[in-house]
Amino acid sequence: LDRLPVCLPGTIVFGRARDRREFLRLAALVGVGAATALVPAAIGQAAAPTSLQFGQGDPGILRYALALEYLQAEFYARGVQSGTMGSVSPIVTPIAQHEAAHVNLITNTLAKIGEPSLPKPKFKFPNGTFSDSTNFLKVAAIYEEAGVKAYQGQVTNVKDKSLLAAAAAIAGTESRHAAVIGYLLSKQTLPGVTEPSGTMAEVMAVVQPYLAS
Amino acid sequence: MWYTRRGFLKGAVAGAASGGGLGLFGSAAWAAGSPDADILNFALIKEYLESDFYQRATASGQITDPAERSLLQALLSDEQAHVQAVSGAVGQLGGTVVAKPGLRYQAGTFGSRDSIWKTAHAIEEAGLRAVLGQAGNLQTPAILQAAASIYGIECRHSALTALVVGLPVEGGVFSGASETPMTRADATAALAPFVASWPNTGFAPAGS
Repeated sequence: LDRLPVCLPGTIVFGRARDRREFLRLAALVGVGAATALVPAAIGQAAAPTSLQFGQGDPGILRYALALEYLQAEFYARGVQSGTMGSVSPIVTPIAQHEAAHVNLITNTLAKIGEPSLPKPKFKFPNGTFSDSTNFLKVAAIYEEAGVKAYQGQVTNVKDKSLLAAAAAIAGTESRHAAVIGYLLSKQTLPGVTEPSGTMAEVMAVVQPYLAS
Repeated sequence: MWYTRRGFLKGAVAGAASGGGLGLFGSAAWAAGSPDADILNFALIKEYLESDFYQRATASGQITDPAERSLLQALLSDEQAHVQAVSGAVGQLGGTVVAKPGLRYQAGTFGSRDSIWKTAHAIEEAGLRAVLGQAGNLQTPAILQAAASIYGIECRHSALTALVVGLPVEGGVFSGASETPMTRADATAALAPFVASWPNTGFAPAGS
């Protein structure tokens, strides 16, 4: 089971067109020939469209990340339990383990710094999500890309450097997940030269439909 | 230590002399002697290697599957863009942009599809771990953001190069629940087999 038995579809489109605009986005990011520097958005200032309260500063970012990891962990665990993953099971199973590990890691980190954790929210998933692997992967792609956006969006907001390194280590794994899920869906696999990034409000707007309460 | 930071210091001096030439990123960080340009130069060597590698892989004609060709094309264009962006950022920060070093590959590297993808994966893996190792060291927010973005893309590259060639899921496509950073020394050592002559930017392997 450690080798991937998935047949590689022959009609995959890797990435979207690399246009000049996309390059300019990266150029602007690093300030090449651009007149504007990125100003990191202050965490917690924009009201997220969610009932979840994350709080301020690094602990707030951790609780925000935890909410997303809770969602992914429950989602993948149910996917594995469903018995409908078929040929993508060798991919889905380790991802489920990763997401469960992320929940533990963030929970432990909050405990270590003496900050309250975030109670696990109740989630809801669209009908049919777990009835076949294609439906499942489509939802997985939404969560993985939202996760990548969330981590990328908080990079410059994290104050503690060791926390930043730990978050980056998790974020990279989410990037791998996103790429592989995209591949399995035969859709957009590489987002271009830069990772997508999103504010808390943008990411929570994506997640909100999956919150039960 | 070979970590001389000569290029960076030269750039920093030039930047200080120009007075406000670094205003884009805020001069405060630079007055304090941020090593960002030096870190970027190291990342640039890695980007040069990746870009060069995918160029040669394309030229080899060994990648014939349409999906894999599309992947290769995307990888090449990502890395070419990274080279330009990182070079530009080093200059923007007042550093001296490191020149593309001489690169070398084991005989047969481009002789088969499998060898191409496996070598690509090894390079991507070392590259992303090298960048992750510097996550806590970058001082300039815009540079940190860009590096994080490039790093995330390299993680995708690593996963996909492993996936297409059928490397194990765990320890190939994935690398556990979180990525493992590499120290600068380890990353330099990992890339040394590909770099025939290390540019004199302070990143030469110890003892060379």
